[in-house]
Amino acid sequence: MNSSTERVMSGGLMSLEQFQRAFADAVASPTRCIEWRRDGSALDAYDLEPRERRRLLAIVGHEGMSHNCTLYRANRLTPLARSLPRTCDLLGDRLRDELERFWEQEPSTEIQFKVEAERFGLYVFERTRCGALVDDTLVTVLGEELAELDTRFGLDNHL
Amino acid sequence: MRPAIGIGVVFNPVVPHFLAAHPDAVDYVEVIPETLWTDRGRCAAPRYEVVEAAIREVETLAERYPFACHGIGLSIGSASPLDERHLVEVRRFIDRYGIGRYSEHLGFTRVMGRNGHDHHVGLGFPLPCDNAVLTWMIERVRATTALVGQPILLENGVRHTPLIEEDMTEPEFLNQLAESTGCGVLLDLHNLYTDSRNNGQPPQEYIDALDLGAVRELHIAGGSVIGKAYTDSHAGPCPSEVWDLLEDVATQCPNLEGITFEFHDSYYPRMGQERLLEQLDRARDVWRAYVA
Repeated sequence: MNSSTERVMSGGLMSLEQFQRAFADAVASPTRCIEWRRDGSALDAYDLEPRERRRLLAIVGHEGMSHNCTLYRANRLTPLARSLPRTCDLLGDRLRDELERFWEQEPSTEIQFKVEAERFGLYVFERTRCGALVDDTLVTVLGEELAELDTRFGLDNHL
Repeated sequence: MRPAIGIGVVFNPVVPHFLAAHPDAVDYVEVIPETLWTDRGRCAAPRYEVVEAAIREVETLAERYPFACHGIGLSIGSASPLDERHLVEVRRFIDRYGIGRYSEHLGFTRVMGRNGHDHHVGLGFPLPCDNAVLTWMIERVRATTALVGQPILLENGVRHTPLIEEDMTEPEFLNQLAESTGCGVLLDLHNLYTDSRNNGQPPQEYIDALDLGAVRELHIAGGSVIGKAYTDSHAGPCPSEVWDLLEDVATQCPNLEGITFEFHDSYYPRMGQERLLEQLDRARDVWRAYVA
């Protein structure tokens, strides 16, 4: 039995868990991928088996990684574009920078459109509250779209 | 409820509209249970809120069609505790509609965050097909089977980046999982095609290595190009190569129950009813040849 097997069999799963965490961190940040390509020692932050380390370095060095990163961003943008279309329109040229900032702040994605839209909504409200975004119309429209979302998905229907 | 056998379509917001016009186009509807609720995560209380509009549509469809259940939210391959609460909800849905086929994806979409909350990783990632992972997954699949009360089907995913130094191939991994747990396989032919487009992985090699006796369902779909890569976006007609695979593979799967067409609702306005009907009719021709 190799050491990796022993760790899984003991119920620890530490190595696989760390591998998955590192994989996810890489996909969420093209910058991180480039850093890892340049200096593999950055992976020391994760408790990886040697094989998993080699795997991750091969992954971030593979041309398909840029596709992973693109899909990550597309999958994060879609819930916002579909749930908060007028808010996205109003942000206009500011949208790209605000998304980058939001994704940096909230690296965890959501498969649930409503939850992701609400998180972005709270983020935008906070940006307007602190004066980083000055746009009264934006606040009004965002509030309307979040209310519409509540109506569409139903309120207070807890299982 | 009758078994979901024949030709199916994955439920999305435009499916009720389509089926109202073409009720005989499918034999069953495949429902993604996660579209029926908003899940605020393991640590949230209350965790789930039902999406009433979707529930109403599903209730109406259930009057005519049997359902298959296709999960996207379990993340069975996550190296974190199995999400048993999620499976309670899935089981509730399965029992309510008498569903006899529940599928999920071989891979992971979540990792445990440092704060104890699940961190969704943005897309489906493959599992390393290693001996240790197989041993762990066997227990995981057995636990899932017990919780949902029936053998689960596992679907092959897309691999945009290959994993090096694996102990076995993915079809070998699936074969051993099926043999050890009794789970079935949902073979997604468009995922195989996507891998062949992006990585040159021959679909036939995968199919030849897979125990086709474990395959209970086939998925077909179309995709689209983003940048330099082809994606399994379900936003396109089923490519001719996938039809060829379907015609070839279906007849080799002795326990096949259904062929399901997946499309994204955002593609529907471009595709239109007639084009969708064409896809389903063509799939039905393959099904007829299979049962003949």
